Amino acid sequence: MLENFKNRFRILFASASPKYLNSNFHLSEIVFESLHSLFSSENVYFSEYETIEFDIDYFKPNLVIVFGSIVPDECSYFSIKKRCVQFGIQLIFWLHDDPYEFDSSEKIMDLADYIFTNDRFSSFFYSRERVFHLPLAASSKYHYRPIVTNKTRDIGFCGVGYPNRVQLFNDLENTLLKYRTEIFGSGWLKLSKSFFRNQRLSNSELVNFYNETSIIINVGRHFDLKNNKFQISSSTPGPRTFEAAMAGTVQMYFVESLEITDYFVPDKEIILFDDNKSFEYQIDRLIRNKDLWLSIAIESQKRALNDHTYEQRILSLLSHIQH
Amino acid sequence: MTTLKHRILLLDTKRPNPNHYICVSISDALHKDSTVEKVFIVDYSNAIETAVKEKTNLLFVFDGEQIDLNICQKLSRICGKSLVWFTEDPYELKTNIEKSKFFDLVFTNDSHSVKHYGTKGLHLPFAASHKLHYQKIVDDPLIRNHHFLYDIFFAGTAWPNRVTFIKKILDSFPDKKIKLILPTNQHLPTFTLPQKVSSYNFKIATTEFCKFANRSKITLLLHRDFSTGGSTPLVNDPYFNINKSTTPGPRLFETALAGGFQIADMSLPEITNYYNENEEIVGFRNEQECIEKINYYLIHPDEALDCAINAQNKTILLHTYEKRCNEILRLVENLKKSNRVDFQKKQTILHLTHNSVYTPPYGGTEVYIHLINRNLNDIFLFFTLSFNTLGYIDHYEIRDNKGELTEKINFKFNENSSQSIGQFEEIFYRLLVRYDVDILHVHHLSLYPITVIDIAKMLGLKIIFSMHDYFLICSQYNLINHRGVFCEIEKQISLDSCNTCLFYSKSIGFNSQLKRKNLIRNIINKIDLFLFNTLGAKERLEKFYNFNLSKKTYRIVPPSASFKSWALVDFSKIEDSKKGISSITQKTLKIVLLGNFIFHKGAKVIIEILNGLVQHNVEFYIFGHISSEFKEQLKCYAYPYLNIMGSYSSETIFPLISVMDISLHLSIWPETFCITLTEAWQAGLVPIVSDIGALGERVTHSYNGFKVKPNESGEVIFLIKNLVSHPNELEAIKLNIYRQRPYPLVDEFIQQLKDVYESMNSSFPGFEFKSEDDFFNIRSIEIRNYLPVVMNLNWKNTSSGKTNFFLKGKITGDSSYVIIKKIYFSINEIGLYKTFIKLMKVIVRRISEYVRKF
Repeated sequence: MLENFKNRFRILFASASPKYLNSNFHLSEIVFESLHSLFSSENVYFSEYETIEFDIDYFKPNLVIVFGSIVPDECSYFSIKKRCVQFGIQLIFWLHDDPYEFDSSEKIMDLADYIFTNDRFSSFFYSRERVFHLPLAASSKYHYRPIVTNKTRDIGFCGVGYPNRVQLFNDLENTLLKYRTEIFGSGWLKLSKSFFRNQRLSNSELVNFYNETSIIINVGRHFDLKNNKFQISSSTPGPRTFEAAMAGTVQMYFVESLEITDYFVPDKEIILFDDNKSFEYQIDRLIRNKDLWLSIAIESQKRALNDHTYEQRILSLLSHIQH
Repeated sequence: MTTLKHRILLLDTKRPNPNHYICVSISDALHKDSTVEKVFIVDYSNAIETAVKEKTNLLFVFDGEQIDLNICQKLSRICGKSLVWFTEDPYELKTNIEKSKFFDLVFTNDSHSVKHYGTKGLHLPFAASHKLHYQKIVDDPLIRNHHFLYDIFFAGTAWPNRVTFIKKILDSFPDKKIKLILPTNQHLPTFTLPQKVSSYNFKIATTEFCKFANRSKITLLLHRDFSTGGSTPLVNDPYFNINKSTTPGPRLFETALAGGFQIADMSLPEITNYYNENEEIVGFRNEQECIEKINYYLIHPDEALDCAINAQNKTILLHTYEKRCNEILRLVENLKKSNRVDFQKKQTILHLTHNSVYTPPYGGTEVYIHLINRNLNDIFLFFTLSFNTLGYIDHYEIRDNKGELTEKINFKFNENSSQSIGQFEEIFYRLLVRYDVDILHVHHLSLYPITVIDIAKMLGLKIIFSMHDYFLICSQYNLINHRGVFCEIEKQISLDSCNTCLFYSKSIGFNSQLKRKNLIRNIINKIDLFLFNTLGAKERLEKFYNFNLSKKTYRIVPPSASFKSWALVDFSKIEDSKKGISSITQKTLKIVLLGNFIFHKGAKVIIEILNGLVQHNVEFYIFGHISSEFKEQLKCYAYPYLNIMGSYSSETIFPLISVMDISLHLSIWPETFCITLTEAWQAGLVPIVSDIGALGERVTHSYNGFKVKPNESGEVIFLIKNLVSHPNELEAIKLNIYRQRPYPLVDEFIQQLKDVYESMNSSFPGFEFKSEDDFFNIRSIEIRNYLPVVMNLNWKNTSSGKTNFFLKGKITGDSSYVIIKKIYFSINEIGLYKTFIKLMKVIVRRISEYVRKF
């Protein structure tokens, strides 16, 4: 399949918004690295938002993949489309912030030849053809860490303190206080609980944080930027699910959707919890039973390496593209 | 005979609609029907446009809540056949009956409501969707137990009666694994459960609901009006509706298709119309029975499995949206295309502008509108919406083609307030409905929210945009930058110069121009036809946005002057002068200034010229409004050779100016046409114009006028001095101007506009009924909810942040030596006391800066 793709595609991979507006710029770089590892240098090219049109002229691709968030008002894709039409290039958008930014998709509805969205349930709401679900993943190069058993903390989480997360950690407080817990990210100050660290971690720090923590809590967000049209609830777990698995830790997934079971097998590769009681029970089980912990860490990392790398996602994306 | 396949316009009337997934399911099901060619899911913002463009032949309206009858009646007429599926009966029955008259077929989710819709009413229960709800049943006993993640599952809005019931279940099954999803909202009373809030208060996707049902041993079905919850009747419960739905909601079918085993509240006896009790589902009539049955089926999983399999099979056979749509389409086929009488009415055109000839000061544009209205009112119905600042209160006003005031709207629009924008949008929507407008002809957009274009589009209007200025390119619509000169925007390699200009001229934060550009770019796409006066303006627009307008979407229509006659020049005299026998030497040149005497029309340059021509044989005549700042200046200078003639009407000044020699058109911005140039030519004057915009495009140097550098008074002074001494040169040009006639005359111009309006002829008539209030008063829905939601309207970044001063470092602070030196010089200069005061002031300022920093 890959050989076929190598012959068929000449890909310009572009970030969907300018670097100064894009807090996920590193993600574009990571995905491009994966693309690069599959194809030879002559056939793939990375472009920043501001230079896409110039780069199309220079590189002459037959496929442009625009990756990321299209929400900033500074971003518009008419000119890029014009250039693509002019040279007969297929224009693909791979969005990574559905459903939280779903309403912005109107911007590209008539421009994209194909749309790939990170969220499965959101994919049903695109009232057009050639829309596919493509979850985010992890990179074996950036996110992989060998599993270590000697951890510096028991429980960890890193992310923005959205109200639903604050509520959850509030509700789990009694259990969290029993262990070495640290919660990083912005927006955690108000509660001033002993385990809140109102501090952001860099991308590499984050991976090390996962690697150094026995159990990572995985909880989604209920915070929409532009999701008023249909108020879609998300169904696909976020990219950190795959990244944490790759980094060699065990995740406790707070169940608000069961799509997680399509990516990781409960109890074998990931632990699910529904409330404070099941959380307490599972944490206790994992902390006491080192072998169980290790087997889940190994299995989940194995699964991530086998099924949830960006290389796989890219191949899946390309398999949808027709001439 | 081949029957025409359905091209269906599927409209969801509600936004946001948590049930939109049903619309998605319907669309998917319709696609699968062999009689359907294509389905278009639309909302109000694009419904009419899609219907016309895609020639849809069936209107399928879903939900019915927040229905906009103005749009729906237009859609019904475009599509020919129409149906509605009301899904909120009986709660919305009263208004739904009213609305139903616009549709050929009416389906209702509620069996008891059917009779109210007469012969066209039909009952149609919800169903389930293969695409969204199907889950495979795991029946292998070895895996099955492991497959279940939960014993009992319930998901639904936290209506108080449900909560009461759920509490009892929780108490009865303390050891069971129960998954509860009970989203609440601000309208619902608070409650407490043994579980923590985070464990149940969230919404889930319908696909996930099905996965939960599939992976739970028992799924509870509790209706919205479910009433068997407590031993006491819940009549006092404000959410308990006596007039409750008799047909079960969608979850019954969805759970069944997901392979979930259901224990259902049987207070809706109709459940058994769809599923057999004890074969496909299990029912309860009170909480005790429910608890007993849960206990029973937890220890008899095989019986539960049988039920789940049966229910899923039955759903596939009878209760999918494919089946429902199949029923609908068979009924539609028997429908005759409705024979509504299309009434004829005059095409109604609404001009959007900021002034009118009835509310001075006005310029060429207003004259242009007035000309159109006056000359085409036999064929079209015209209204003009403009802004009036003359009265005590600034207000919008609507005038008809005779200039009669038909409506006054006491409102001032503030582009920085979304509330104000919202209010104006509502007003504008009502106006378009009330006047039944077919074409919106935009001349100025700066005093309106740009969403007026979206609203017009939503109501199916055609939109014509006359480009009289550059508002579509920059909020500085004449493209004069912060330094007071033309910015040559089309030559800028980036928007950085724009950002600088906007920051210094209007205090708009950096990087705003790009946002505005993207915002307007979306609007441009919605305009049906652009009218440009010259090619230059079109090219400037295209260059800025890097696109090309297709031939169908623009026309070059040069406006005419308003004079009806041609110059009274004695050409025999001119011919004589060419032969060199003219007696004119050193005559006094009469120079005319036509139009508003304001800054961007070159007023400053003209004052320089007036100064430069003192004691030369020239006389100046200014016709037109003079802005107050320049009036003062002209008074001060007291030029004896200057005559201020005041505002003019075209007819009266023609004889006056046609005996004069030169006209000045020294705009410093790229005019898009300049009617006064035509007027000057028509009156036989030789124009001196700045070489910029349409003026530069229209005049050929030394042939039919003279071109000078913009903002260069010296060049003009030199030229005029030269012409004073060589008046013959003027005569030659006058002759060329005469030979070049006729300039576009009024009739010709009017004919072109008539063609334009006729080509826009919308293919469907206007409103049969006007429903201004339904949209707002009854439903109290903001029209904003229905506008396309691509971008934020507010494109202005605020200029935020502050410079970092490193007070502690040596970067800004003076060394102590310097300070002592300064004090020494200060004492020498202003004395000890004043230096002391100055020093104290500095110290106080520094301290306050320091305090503010923290």
